[in-house]
Amino acid sequence: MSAHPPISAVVPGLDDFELLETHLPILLDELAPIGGEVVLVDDTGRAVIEPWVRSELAAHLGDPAHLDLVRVVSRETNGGFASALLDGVAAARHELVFAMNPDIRVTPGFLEPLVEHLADDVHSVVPRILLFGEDDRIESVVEIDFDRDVAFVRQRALAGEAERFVESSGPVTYAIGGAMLLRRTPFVASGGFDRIFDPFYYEDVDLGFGAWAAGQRVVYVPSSVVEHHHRGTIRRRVDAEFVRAVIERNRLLFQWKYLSADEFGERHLAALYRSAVDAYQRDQRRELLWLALALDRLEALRASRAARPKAVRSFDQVVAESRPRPDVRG
Amino acid sequence: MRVCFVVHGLPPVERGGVEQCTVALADELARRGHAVEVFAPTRRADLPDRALRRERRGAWHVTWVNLESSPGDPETALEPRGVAEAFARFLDAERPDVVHVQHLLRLGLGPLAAAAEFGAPLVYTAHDWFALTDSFALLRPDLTRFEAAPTPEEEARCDLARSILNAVESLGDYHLGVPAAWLDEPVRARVAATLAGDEEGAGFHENEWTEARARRERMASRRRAAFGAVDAFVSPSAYLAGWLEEAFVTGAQSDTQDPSNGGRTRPPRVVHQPNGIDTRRLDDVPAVPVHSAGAATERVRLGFVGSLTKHKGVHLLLDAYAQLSDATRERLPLVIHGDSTDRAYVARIADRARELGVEYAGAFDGDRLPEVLAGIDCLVVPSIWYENFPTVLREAFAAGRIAVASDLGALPESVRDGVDGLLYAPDDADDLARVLRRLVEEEGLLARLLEGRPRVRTIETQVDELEALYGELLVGREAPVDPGGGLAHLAELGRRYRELEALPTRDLLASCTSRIADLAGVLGLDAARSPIERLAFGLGESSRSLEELRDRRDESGYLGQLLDERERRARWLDERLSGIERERDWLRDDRENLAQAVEFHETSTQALEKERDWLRQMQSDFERERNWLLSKQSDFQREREYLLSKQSDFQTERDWLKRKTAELDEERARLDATLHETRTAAEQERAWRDSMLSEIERERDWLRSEIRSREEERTWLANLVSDKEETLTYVWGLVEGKDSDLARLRSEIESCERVAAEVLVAFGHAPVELEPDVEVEGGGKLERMLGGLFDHGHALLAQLEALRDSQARAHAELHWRRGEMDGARLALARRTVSWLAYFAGFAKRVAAWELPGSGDGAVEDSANREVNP
Repeated sequence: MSAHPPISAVVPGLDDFELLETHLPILLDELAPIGGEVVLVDDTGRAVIEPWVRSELAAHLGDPAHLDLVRVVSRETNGGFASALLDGVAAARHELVFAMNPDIRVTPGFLEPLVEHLADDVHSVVPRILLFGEDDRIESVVEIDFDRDVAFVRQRALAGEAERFVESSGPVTYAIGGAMLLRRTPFVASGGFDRIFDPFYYEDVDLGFGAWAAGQRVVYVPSSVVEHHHRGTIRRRVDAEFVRAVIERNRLLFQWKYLSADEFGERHLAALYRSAVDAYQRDQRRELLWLALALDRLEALRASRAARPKAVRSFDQVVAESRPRPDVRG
Repeated sequence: MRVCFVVHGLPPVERGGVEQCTVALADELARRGHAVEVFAPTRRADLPDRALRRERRGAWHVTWVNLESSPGDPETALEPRGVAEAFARFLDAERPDVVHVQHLLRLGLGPLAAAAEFGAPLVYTAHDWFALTDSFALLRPDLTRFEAAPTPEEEARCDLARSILNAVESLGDYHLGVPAAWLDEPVRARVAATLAGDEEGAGFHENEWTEARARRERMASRRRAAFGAVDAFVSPSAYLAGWLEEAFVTGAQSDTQDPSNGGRTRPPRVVHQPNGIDTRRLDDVPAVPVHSAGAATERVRLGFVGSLTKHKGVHLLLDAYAQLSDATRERLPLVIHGDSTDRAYVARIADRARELGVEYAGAFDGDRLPEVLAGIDCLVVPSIWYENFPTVLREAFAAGRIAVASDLGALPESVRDGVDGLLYAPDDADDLARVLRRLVEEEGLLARLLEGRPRVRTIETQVDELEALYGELLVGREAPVDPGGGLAHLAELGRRYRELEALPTRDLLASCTSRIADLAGVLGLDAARSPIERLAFGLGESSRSLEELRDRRDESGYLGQLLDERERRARWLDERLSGIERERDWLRDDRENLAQAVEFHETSTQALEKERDWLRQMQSDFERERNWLLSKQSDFQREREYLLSKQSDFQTERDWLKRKTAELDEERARLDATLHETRTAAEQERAWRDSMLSEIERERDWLRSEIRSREEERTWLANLVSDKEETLTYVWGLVEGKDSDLARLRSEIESCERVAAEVLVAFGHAPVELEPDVEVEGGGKLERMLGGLFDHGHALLAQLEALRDSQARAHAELHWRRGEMDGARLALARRTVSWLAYFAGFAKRVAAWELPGSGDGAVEDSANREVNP
């Protein structure tokens, strides 16, 4: 008997077979004892994962019986991470869902701490995500900060503070979509990630930040450890400048989604004018391009803002309360 | 379409054909709705170096890049610092669809590389030969023409020759070069030597040659790479198009595989596309007055319109004009319109014009062109370079003028000799004068030429073709890479991303700032606040530009200090360099001295080595001798010991010898007596022997005289024998005759006898026998005489033989006597010698025994003799 309820691991991806054949066996080893399953979401639009699972995967599994725990959801068209994850979560058989990218390699016992911390008021939990080969860099310690009145994600544990976040569980602004445990029902009911951020990046920031604004919490659990092999599932295929543009666009959209019509909103708007002029004067045309891409989404933004649940925390409150707490020592 | 032109200048500052052509194209393209941006260099003291400033020019814009400093050397001129980066910034901001380079003077190759990097189609209009060489007019510094694109070696020579001209202050800004005839002899000779590659005559250090050549090799390589990025060359003339075709297409096929050619994988296109001009402003220029068709023209007004630079050949025109008579000049008034920065040349032309009564009108505003052309009937284009496509020629034709031009380069494409103008032999002032005279002397010529004027190509026609070319190049480009990597869900965003990427930066800014206001509405912010208010607020809070400006100022101050420090260091380095150069010179001298010293030392070393070898040989000899001496020393030791022992033996022997001496004294006395006796006996015997010898000699003399007499006798006898033999021979002859007579007689007798017998028989008688005496009477006597003679001869021979035997015996005896006497003498002498030797040795030994301490002395004397043999 397992100590906790069964879990569905949902892995949206493309034809990253090399990653899957490496990472799935360990994941299945963890899920099998608790009656879990793996839902592979084929987002290639070409249904290439199902035949691969049938013909190739078994050879990489320690226990061939684990193959029965793998299901494939093939999407008709390539739709990106957000929609693929939603499809996968919707297809999951269990209420607890561990969403992960194919380049995440779990470690033994990673699930139990996550489940333990998924309290009623907790929207999602995130493990200690280590950059593969760099134990002193943790991806999942995230918070929102500001630069000249424009919000951005700060990852303090990537900037030399990792050792301060290895013991205590605590708040983080959001759970990185590449490795997070959440509940299936509310996720599916809310339509998953906000599609305004399509095709990628910042949808998880939005999910976590929205949860905080709605009065829930997101928890970082360092005792659960996974490795991020950072093979660039998107960056391997897509132009790096384009990826950067999408990230920067979504950074603005994220802030605009939660910005209130107060002085902070005015400051931000003034900052946008200023940064546009600065970019022009400094020949930083790509910053203008990012802004232009974000401004293309104003109508979607309007809809997204309208769909926000009633906020119990302001922007500033979320930022303050979701900020990770370093370990208290001595 | 967004079109970017690159050119080295624009009117009103630069008024050349290229600049005017660029303006005309920009105007027409902008009129058709294209966005035209021009990139050109300027020189403004109020702007930082390489600063960009955008300025509106009617319907298009020009962005000036401020190039404060002039390049110091050809290599820097080819790629001035910062130009490529400035142009890249310009391209990044303006995002043109096509980059069209009109000229790269002052800008260098940088724009080509930046355009290739940017990725837009690159068009290059070749108004001259810059694509092939820095000597873009194909003129050497002495203004002689290249027949083909110069090689790096020739360009290196030109660089060095220009450096000679640079040092001649009186030449001022000499532009492309100076005719050799205008140079002072030493300079002329040096320039000529340099251009001929005569390193000795040129007077440059070999390092300067090496550096100039290496630099030109580098430059040629970079020029090839930069122009390799061009997608299409446009040439206004077929003549230059041929050169480009040869250089970049037919003659450079292999270069298309060169990765340094801007990534182009196929050869560029070379398009012959004559320039068009805006003819509208010239429509109202009054027609040339032709007084009477068919008659010689009264007066033809000549004019030069263009830059007053040497390659335009105005000095040649004036040389030709000087050949005209006053009366002809009266009918061919000449006016010169134009100016340039070549002040020395302008002054020279102005002075010469004044001398010849030519009007020098100087510079004119471009707007006055119709007025200028209205003032002339015939445009003269006296260029000494391979003129390509002079715009002013089109303008003159468009204004209803004719032209006289040199038959050089592409000019014959523009001026058809005898149809719409006249051509003269290039560089030939005489021929130009002749052609000018024809204008007023040849009946109906002017009218005929005016009638034959070509229809001038308009700017509209050219832009039609240019648009088509741009379109083809854009279609021919590879499709832009999908930033979404082909993923379906990224397609739309990727397309939008590319759209925004293609926008000029200012359009992006405008797009953003206009929509931020919309964002305010979405966010529910105060709609009453204007964007300017918000921008002012934002800028007031903080501005990265301002901060950057402050940072730059700080950095500028720091860099200024750094620059000062560098300058100080540069000065120090200069001083150090000059010191090092002095030291280098000193070291060179020192090196030469050292070389001589080395040579001397080598010689000395060789001598010393020989001496050393000799000494080693000597040493070896000495060692051998020393060893020998040591061995001898030991020998001597042994000998000394032996001699010491011998000395004692000698002591003993001396005693014995003393005794023996006494005995010998006695013996000597006895021997002396014996000797005396022996001597006496010997003397007696000697006297006897002498007397015997005298006797023998006498006998010998007698025998000799006897021999002589016998010889004489023998001779006589021989003669006698000879006579006798002759007689005998004669007698034998007689005998043989007698024998034959006898035989004949016998046969006759026999015959007679037989006849007689036959007669007797016939007469009945018996045969009669003859008496033997009767038969041999005569023969018997002869035989007896002969027998007597033989006997006498034999007796004489026997006597002669006896005499000979006697003589031989006398000789033998004489010989034996002599031998005996010699033997006796020898025996006597031997005995005498042996006696003398005996006595000498004896005396010596006796003397040695009697010397005091003679034992040691004898040893030393012996040793000395041994050491110094």
